[in-house]
Amino acid sequence: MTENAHGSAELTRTQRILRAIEPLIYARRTLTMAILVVATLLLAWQMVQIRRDAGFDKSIPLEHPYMQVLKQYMAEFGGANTVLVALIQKDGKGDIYNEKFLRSLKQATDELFFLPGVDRSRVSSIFTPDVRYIEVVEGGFSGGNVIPADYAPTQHYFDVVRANVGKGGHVGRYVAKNQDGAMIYSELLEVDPVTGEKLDYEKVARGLEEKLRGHFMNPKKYIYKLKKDQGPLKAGSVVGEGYVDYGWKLALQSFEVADPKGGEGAPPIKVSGTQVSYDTVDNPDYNPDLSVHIVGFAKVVGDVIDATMQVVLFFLLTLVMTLILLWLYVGSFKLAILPLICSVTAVIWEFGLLRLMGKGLDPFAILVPFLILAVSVSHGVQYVNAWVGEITMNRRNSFDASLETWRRLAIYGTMAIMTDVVGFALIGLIPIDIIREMALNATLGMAAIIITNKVMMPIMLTWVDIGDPVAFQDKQDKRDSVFDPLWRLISNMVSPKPAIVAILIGAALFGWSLWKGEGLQVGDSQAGVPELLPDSRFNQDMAAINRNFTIGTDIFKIVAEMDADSCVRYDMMEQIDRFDAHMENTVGVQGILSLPWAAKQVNSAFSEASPKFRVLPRNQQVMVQAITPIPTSSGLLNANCSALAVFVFTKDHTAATLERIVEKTKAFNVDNAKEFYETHPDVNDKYCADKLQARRDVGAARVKLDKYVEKLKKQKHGIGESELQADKAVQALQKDADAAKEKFASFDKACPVNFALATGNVGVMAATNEEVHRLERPILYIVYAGIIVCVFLSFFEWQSIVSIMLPLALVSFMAYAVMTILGIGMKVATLPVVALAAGIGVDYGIYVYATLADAAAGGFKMRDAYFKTLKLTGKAVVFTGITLGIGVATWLWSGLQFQRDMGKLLVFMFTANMFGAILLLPAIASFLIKPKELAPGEEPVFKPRH
Amino acid sequence: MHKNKPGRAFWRRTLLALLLGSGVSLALAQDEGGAGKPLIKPRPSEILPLTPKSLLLDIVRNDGRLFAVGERGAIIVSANGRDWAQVQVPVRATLTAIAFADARNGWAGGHDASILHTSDGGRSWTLQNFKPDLEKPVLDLLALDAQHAIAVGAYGLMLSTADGGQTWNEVDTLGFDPDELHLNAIAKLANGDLFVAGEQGLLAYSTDQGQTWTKQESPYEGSFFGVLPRGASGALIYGLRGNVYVSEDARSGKWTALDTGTVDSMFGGAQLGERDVLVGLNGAILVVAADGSVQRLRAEAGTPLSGIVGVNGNEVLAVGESGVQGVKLSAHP
Repeated sequence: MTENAHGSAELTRTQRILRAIEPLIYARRTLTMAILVVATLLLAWQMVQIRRDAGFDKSIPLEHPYMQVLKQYMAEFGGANTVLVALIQKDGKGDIYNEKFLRSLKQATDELFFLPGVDRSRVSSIFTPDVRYIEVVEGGFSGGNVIPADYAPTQHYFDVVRANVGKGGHVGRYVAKNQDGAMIYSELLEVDPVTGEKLDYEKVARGLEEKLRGHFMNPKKYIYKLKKDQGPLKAGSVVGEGYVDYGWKLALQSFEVADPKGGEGAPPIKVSGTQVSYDTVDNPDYNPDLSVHIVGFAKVVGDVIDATMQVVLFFLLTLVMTLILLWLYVGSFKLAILPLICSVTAVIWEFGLLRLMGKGLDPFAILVPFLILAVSVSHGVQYVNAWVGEITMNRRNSFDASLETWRRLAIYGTMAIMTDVVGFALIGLIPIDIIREMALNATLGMAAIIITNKVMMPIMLTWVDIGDPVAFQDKQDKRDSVFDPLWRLISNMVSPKPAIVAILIGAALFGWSLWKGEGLQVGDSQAGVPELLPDSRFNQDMAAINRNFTIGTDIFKIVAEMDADSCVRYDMMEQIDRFDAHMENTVGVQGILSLPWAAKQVNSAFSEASPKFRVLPRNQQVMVQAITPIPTSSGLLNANCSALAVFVFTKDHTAATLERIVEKTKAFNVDNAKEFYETHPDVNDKYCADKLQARRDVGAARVKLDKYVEKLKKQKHGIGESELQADKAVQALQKDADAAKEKFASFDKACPVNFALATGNVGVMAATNEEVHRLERPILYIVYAGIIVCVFLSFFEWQSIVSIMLPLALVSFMAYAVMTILGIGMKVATLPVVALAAGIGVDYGIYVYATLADAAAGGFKMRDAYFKTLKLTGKAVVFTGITLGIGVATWLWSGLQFQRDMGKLLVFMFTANMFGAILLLPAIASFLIKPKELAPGEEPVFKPRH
Repeated sequence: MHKNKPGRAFWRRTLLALLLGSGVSLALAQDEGGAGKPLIKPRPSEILPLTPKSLLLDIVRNDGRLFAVGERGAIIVSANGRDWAQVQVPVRATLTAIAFADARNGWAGGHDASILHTSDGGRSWTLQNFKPDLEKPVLDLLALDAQHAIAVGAYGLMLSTADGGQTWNEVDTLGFDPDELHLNAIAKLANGDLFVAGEQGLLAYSTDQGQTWTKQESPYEGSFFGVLPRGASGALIYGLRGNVYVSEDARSGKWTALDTGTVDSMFGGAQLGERDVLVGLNGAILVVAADGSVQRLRAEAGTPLSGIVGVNGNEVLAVGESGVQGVKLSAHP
């Protein structure tokens, strides 16, 4: 093998590099440390200013074709960012047709309408004018708003409203199935169209709790008053009122008050919750008969944020448990606290750097810091462990031990962390912004670990006073020998027979994992929101809405695309009608709503409500008659009738349901086009595909323009229309948009209706699922490729790759099987974790392999070499695996379902990787590494090969 | 507030841009009947699992089996009223009526003036008539025997055959229906007379198997949707807003209004022994006893019903917007 010659050349170079860096750390360690402390303080200051940054858009794969459809039709058919508010009478309180309920419903509709961030054109309840009814009378039909204009709270009008609800067919949609509740539909605008400002979800969620839930459900109302003068505001002046009892969390709230001195447009004064006291008065709008149920992305974000405090507590708990276990392990509090200091510092750096880069922390990424913590603890323990080893085995002092440890572990440790960095960074290839943010976040954290564990830790160790060296060494020796029998037992793993057994078991587990992992669900595998506990208020609200209304919270919208004014054409409408039937006949679909469906209702109404006329009329004039009563505000059609939305209401949003809808739609498009070409010989597949692309380009060009204008508006508040028109880039984008439009217009022949996937909240899920499904394996493989390169660069030998990667791969595949068994779906939140956890596994592998290979190269027999490895690095691996496993196990009691799920997954990953590293890795390595042949009388020596 | 008088073909063809005010502005395509007019050809129906739960418009029993027809060329068959199988037919138009002449021969009709025929007891169906350009749906069918049948429909449509449907001839109805009103239903009374009920109170009868028709003065200006034979020579007619009339002698034109206690329009009906059962809007079911007393029921779904058939004893199957629904009537008084 040329490796030895090559290796020895490498050795000196590596040593030269190490020797060159050493002085930076050790020569002026007080100065270095001082710089690090200052940097940490600065970054800590940055960290405390970090803002939470939730977003709907960033949780969706914007480049996915479905999402391009969503963006193209956003203005007409809305997005997917809905908020549903249901007011439901409590049991035994009767139906909704009474003064109290209807008053509350009207107030709630108004409150939602005026809630900042809500798209006012998309607020809809029986109190809004878009909700109508039609009724057949002799010789025609009449129609109007469900709530008459002259409504007054009398029994007569209650009966009228009840009758109108029935005539309009609103039972199940706007009114609960058994008429004891009512729904308000609304949609949020993620970016304010005037100011270009991004929506503050926390504020929206708080608004929903205050104005919608608290307003009607809390018997009390709170008037907040200033305790002391603040600026122009006098003590005792009212700064706000609310309906939610915050308790001690009031201190975390803030109030915005208009500046009495400032003129129009002056920024409001912010008053902290600590500055106010409050009076409790009776809530005049309290309605003891009803309960309010709110669902929507904004509420999920709000609930996750509410649970942040708990998540932080769990982090602290994990930290404390780690500390205690470390203390027990090294027998010295001083030493135990060092890895924790380094880990916490790394997290501070991570957040500080994130903030410096202008990013916020997404509530759904709150687990990333823990991964950083975990990796850092793993490295810290190795370091402290090796340092103690230097003192006890080689009888060195603190400083020398630190230096020696650094020389031995700096390369391996840094390479292991680099491996993690590469792995984490590669996850950023997934084109979903939230995952990219997580990747960036984790990469920054990993970079910070290199500083804290390879610079701070060595310096701190030089200052550790071990007291009487001999006593310390004795104590450690004694502690160490306790586990010697265990290590000796495990060291058998490198003997041929146990090794073969271990490899066979590994292979069997691998096969089992492949088989079991097949059942892994992409997306959600249960009803409700998987981030929150099944019995959380949100999921209860969701269940209540799904129980009481036929049209639930899961909406899949498909856009039927055709030429302008095509909704008066029977041959076009018929295709959509038939598509409706195919959708209705899909398992998991609860109902549909579309323009053809509505047109059939109207056509029947025009024919004295006869069900025999519940058809689409072939006659164009009759068709006009049938669709005219349906306004664009219904969200069923756009202004020129070139696109219709087909609402598909699903029973749930499990991946299986979504897949069926997607498959059916795709198949229908193909079959429908084939039929169409038979009767329309002037067009063909190619022509229509080009036409569709031209159509999509129009949308893309417009979205680009809008996005840019939005950006300009955000940069420059109050920018005028003329100023916008004068902008060069705007002009260029406008030109592109016009060109695209012109090109599309040149396709003047009618094509079959194209059923474009997809919008609606479930449509977004479908796109996300597809993206996750498409990328989960490739990303894992890319991450593995990155890790392999790094492992190779660490050792320059293929044996290292095989020995380290096989156990790692086994654990990754087992993780899929475990997810299947636990019912955890593969989704945006879990995809990075599986890949990231591979990063933690690789640390274990590198430390164990490095020492084992070094010992073998020094002439130790395999079994002795592995025994030595276990004592030097193996026990730290075992300790880390157990400690982190116990630490994350506490997450199983978290109030967030996804933290529980992650907890389960991580417990598995930490411990399984640990077993893989100390049982399977040596078994594989025992067949690949040959100990150096010793000359007669030569003693084996242990020293790092580089 | 929309108010208009629908119904007549004349209206339909002239009622235009006036309506275009509200949401949409539509350029009415000028190419009507022009070169761009797409070819219309009948397409086979699609077998869909939920057909028994979707819009069904008529139901009959024949030779021990139940047949229901409805949306998108649906014909479903059942032996027990619970398990249904869909039969593929060569047309996708919505079918509104089905009638059998004997155990083997029957017809189903519907939109696009579609008429399907079976000569094997409903196992297979052939398309005998398909005229989408007519823009007139068949609304009811009367099978007199294996050779003779009459179909009635919208805008005064009447088709008849004397050769088992080899040829369907358009019957001129302007004599009794000068305004081209919808002919909603046709039935054969016990004395052999044929009776037609239609839009805006239209009533007509034929004493010669449909050769000639006599218009009758109507007791009601609203539309009738159905007619059932009653007694030796009487009839029961039902229609808009819960209006039901009976006559012991249909030719006489003397009708007695029944107190139905509902304003729900009645769209379908069947004789069930001594009783007549009518179904209509909002799932309304009326049971009319021999003495003219009316009992009101409501099908569970509460959606419009269009047809009904007795199954056994007091059980009936109603069809409508929510497909087939079983309803139990109270025991015979």
